[in-house]
Amino acid sequence: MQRYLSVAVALAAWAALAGPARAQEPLTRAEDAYQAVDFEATRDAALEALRSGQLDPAQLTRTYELLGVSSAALGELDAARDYFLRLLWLDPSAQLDDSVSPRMREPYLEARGARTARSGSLSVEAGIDRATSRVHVTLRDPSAMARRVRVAARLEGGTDYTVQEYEARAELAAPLSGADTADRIEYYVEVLDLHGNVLLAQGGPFAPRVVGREPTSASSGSSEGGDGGGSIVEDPLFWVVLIGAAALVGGGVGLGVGLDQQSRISVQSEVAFGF
Amino acid sequence: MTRRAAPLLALALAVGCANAPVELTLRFPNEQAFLQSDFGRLLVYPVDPADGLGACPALVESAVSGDLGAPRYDSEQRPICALRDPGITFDDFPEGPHAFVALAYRDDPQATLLAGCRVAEAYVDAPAVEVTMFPTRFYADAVGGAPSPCTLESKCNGTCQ
Repeated sequence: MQRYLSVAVALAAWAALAGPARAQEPLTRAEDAYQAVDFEATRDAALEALRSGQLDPAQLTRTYELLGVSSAALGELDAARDYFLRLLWLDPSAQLDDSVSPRMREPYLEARGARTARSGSLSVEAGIDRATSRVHVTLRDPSAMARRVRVAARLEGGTDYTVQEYEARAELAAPLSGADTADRIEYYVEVLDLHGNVLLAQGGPFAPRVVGREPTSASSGSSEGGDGGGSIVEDPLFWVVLIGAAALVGGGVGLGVGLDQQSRISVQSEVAFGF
Repeated sequence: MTRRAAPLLALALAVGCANAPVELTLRFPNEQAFLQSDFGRLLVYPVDPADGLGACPALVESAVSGDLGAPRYDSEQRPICALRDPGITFDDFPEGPHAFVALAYRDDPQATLLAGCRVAEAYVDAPAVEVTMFPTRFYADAVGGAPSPCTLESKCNGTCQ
């Protein structure tokens, strides 16, 4: 029984690791077909990649480009325009390859015009709502492509993320235990499309974003020794070194201020009411 | 005795070298305007003393439109109460003229409720820099005349839902 369990676990791990690779496969086939000027195969493989739901933003952008070009080449101009418009929502600066013929370029130019007429861009912003101990996420989706939002967060320095997924809406609040008192949290947010592809990612599991305030309480780390040895402050040498260091620092600071008129200061906010 | 004196001496040395921070006062029209806001953001832009002293109108207009440009300091989005207590601190701030821009909004950073700007010079022992916050074109629609049920205390200690 235990052996079967081990095999099952190994298979599950393999499946998890192989997932992204399998998703890339149809996209690779689409690229190959595009190189071979087989637009029907390009479109079919790109659609397969899109429906796999495992594309990252860069792959998704490329998939829409391939879909747009192949659809235009096959005379499916409305579909091509729609794909190009999606491409431009993901990457407003996207340009078609110079090798794309003027006929295939036309729906792209129409999509560019439509995109220019619509302001805003897909964006997501996160902050801490300490009052409710939640990660507050603001989503702007003028493209109407977002379907779900994945929010992963942990207290700064923690190991495991709390991952939650929500229906896409303008405002989300993901509970995070301890966020009410934590100085800072680490998070990443992924905006997903209908198929589960990542339209937009802010941060990632290994490069999370950080939000919060500067630590309010300095951790002094002044733990008592405890190994039975005498305190360092009882050593006269300590005082000699400390006073010498203080004199050096004082002299250095004085010299620095004297030489550099543009000294560094700090600025702190406060709030007042009434004009 | 010596054991107690060591940290005190170290503290005295540290305090002796530190400058008091320059206060940046964000003046809201009234308490209600503050209570209507959920988030705030502070941005500081370098200003050219020769021709940048009138930079505020353009900076505020751009910021309210969502174009934050290239600030030297950006607090990012913070809960509005954090602006008040403990306050937002920019350390290692260079002396000289800067444009201090403050924004307050609810859940949509694109719809700024209140905005203010002040060009001022920060230097050691400088007087407080006061940024007056004015309602933007989004304020009336967002607030709709309904007063916030919160008090300053309940909003900032998290007891007001």
